[in-house]
Amino acid sequence: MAAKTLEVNMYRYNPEEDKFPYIKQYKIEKPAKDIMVLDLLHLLKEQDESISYRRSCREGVCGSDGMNINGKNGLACITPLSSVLKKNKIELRPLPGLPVIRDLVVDMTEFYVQYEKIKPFLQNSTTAPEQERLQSPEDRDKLDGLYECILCACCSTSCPSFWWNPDKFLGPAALLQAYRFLADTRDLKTNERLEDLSDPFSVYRCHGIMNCVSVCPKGLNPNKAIGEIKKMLLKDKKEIITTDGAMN
Amino acid sequence: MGNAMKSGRLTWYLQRYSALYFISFLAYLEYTFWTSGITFQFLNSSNVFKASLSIFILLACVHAYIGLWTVGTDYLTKRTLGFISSTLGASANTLRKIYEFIFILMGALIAALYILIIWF
Repeated sequence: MAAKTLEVNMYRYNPEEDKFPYIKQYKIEKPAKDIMVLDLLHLLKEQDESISYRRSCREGVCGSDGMNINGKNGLACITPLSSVLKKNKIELRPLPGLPVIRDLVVDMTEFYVQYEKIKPFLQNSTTAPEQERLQSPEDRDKLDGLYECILCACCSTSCPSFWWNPDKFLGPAALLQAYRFLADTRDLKTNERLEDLSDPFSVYRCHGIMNCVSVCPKGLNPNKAIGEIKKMLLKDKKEIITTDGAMN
Repeated sequence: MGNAMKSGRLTWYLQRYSALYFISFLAYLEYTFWTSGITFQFLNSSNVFKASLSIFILLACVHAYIGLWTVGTDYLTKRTLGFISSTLGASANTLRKIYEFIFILMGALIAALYILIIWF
């Protein structure tokens, strides 16, 4: 194969036409300058209009184009082609562990169901102040590295525990968000949130293999957040929260 | 055992503390053997040692139970066996119960045998 030609092996599956998924090989001229994997997909779509994938913001904010690129999950829009090419070859597959709707498009229902379980909203029944609930800068700092998650599902779909028990184990993305609200001093439902996580599956099924950390396109650390949740779960609940919601 | 497995905290503690006990007990055996040259026969004449060894055996069974239960609930499910065949997937719960019964039975037999050897 000429060095200026790229070989793209892509997972293809259209349930209306195909009995089984298959890998289709495309050859495309190597672009003169480095492009993102999403741009490569656009070029391929010019060749073959039947290719399906999700995309929206093309700058790593919406989390739509999570996919498996050469065996590692990532966002196509912020993954430079040069960083993933191996001998001018690239393999694109859908996010593992979720049902495939078509080609690189997966059904995210299981992922969102788990996210919904952690009640991803502030719970505080005290009278709301006129403008906003204030926090000290130190308390606000606790949320850094947690709130930035874009729910692309790269982490959860790279986690074997989530593959095996997507209905019971919440997965790294949901757990990162669970800790985001556990760490928020304005949230007053800490004990209830912990109670919901106390079964052997929701949190404890994480064995700390850290795939989630290695694939997160935003550089977040769900494994650390899960560790913090485990620490809170192992503490005596009475020690965790005071009447005004502040954590000890 | 079923209710105990509903608490993630309890199983987490059991796994960690039993592992710590194993390390401490084995380190004690090594230390005693290399420093005093005490034989197993001599140790076995002590009731404290017999009790410690019995606890070791029982904790090993609990530790193994939690580990194997985790493996079973990961790999012997409708979803995972369903990857192989839908028939197998449909009978996953029954298969997992059989698997659990076998290792509980084996664990109980092994523990009973060792306790008998240690004490009688």
